[in-house]
Amino acid sequence: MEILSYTFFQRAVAGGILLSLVFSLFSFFVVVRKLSFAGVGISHTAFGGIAIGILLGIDPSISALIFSVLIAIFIAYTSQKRKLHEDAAIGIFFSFSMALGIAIISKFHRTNVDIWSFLFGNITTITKGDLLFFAVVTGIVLVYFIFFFGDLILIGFDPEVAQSYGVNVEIHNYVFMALLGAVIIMGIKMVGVILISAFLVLPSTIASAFSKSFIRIILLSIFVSMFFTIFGLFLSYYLDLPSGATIVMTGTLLFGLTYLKKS
Amino acid sequence: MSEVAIEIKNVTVRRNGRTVLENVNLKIGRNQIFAICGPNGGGKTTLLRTIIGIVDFDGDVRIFQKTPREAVKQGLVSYLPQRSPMDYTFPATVYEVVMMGRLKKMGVLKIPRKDDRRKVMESLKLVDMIDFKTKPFSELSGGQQQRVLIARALASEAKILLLDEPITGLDIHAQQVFYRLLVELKERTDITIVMVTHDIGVMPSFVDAVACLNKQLYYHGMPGTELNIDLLKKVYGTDIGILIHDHGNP
Repeated sequence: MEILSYTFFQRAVAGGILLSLVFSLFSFFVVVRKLSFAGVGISHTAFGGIAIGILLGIDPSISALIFSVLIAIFIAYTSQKRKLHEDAAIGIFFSFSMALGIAIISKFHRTNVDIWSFLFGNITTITKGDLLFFAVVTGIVLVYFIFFFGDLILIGFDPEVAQSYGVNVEIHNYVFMALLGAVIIMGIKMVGVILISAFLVLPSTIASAFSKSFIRIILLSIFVSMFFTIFGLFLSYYLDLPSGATIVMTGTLLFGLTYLKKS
Repeated sequence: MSEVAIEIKNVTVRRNGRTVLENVNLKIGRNQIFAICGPNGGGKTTLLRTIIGIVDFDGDVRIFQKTPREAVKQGLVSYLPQRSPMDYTFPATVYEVVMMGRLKKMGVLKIPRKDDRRKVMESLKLVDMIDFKTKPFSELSGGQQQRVLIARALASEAKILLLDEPITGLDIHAQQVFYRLLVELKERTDITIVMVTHDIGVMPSFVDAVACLNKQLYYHGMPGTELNIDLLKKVYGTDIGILIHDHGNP
């Protein structure tokens, strides 16, 4: 296990654990609230944010974070106010952001920015600063989920009933989506824009094959997510494959085996 | 009338420039089963949503002398919307669904205490669903799901139960079982039940009072004699035939 003595791998494991924890919490609510497409949309809009960072000469992670959180809030707004169907809003922003990103990068691309790592993730690029950012986001997400777990469950089960219990559904939708935007940026460092949505769907989907109790599904999701992330990281090292792709393939294989056994 | 549970005074609701409710006045007594009938789009659901304070309105609504927001905050009202907006595939056991009724009463970490568990079990017993407590909610029949949702309302210790079209999708037998449950709840607890329906055929004899609503309130009183054809024509805006039957009594 000499791999564990490498600093980059230690950081990847630490990042992977934090990532698994927050994504598995979101995963349950994303799946039950049928927000998977929103996750895909937000992660792809991050590409536009990355490109804006390159254009302005600032850290692309910061510009992507701001851009993604704003877009996530806007998606929540359009859905809330029924100005536009949520799917349509996501579809429009998704393709616009990708188009904007491609246009900016093709015109102003600086060689010191590795676009490939933003698209598909690269564990060797995780810095101490990134880990600190991961820890802060994880902390905020945990506080939110612990304090408002009941509200989130009620909203997931029935938003109208949640309102009748005095839950402010509108505010929760904004906060949930904004945090989702921040969490997605955190995940992009690990597995990239293209693959991150798998982290939102796989943990809860795999866990729900084993139980019909939401408490058990959430707890099992954390375990499932940590398992395929860490196992995938090791596999990627020993098989010399890209980490993000290997993690996602490991998760998908686990999903396949789970449902094969179930059926 | 006994103590007034809900009092609605001169309530008008407008949405997108359209008047949905116009100058509605209504009193609902404590521990009554109160039915609100009227055609689709007549404002029945809006009236329920007004009572729980999630619709802007002109006028005054009091629930045990409190405003809707105060009443909701204190957990006095429990609302069961029509079946459509709810996710019936949500992964939860029957026990967990009923425990949701206790969530607002739990501490910060939402860990059920002895009192919460006791209340959930009592509520499940009241609706005769105790044997199903470990079953997935999504695998129950429509009638059983309705009973579980009623148990959730009971677990929340609400004083008023608002039911929006509660028998939609239930077969005749399940409807009768459901009505029997409402009567039992009325007799065994202090709860006030307000039930909305577009179908006047389901105005059973166990209902204590009835109101007919089509934007305005056309009738408010005891079911039966005064509910004549002319009135129903006014409420439903069309010729209507009534088949007299004796199946209302659960």
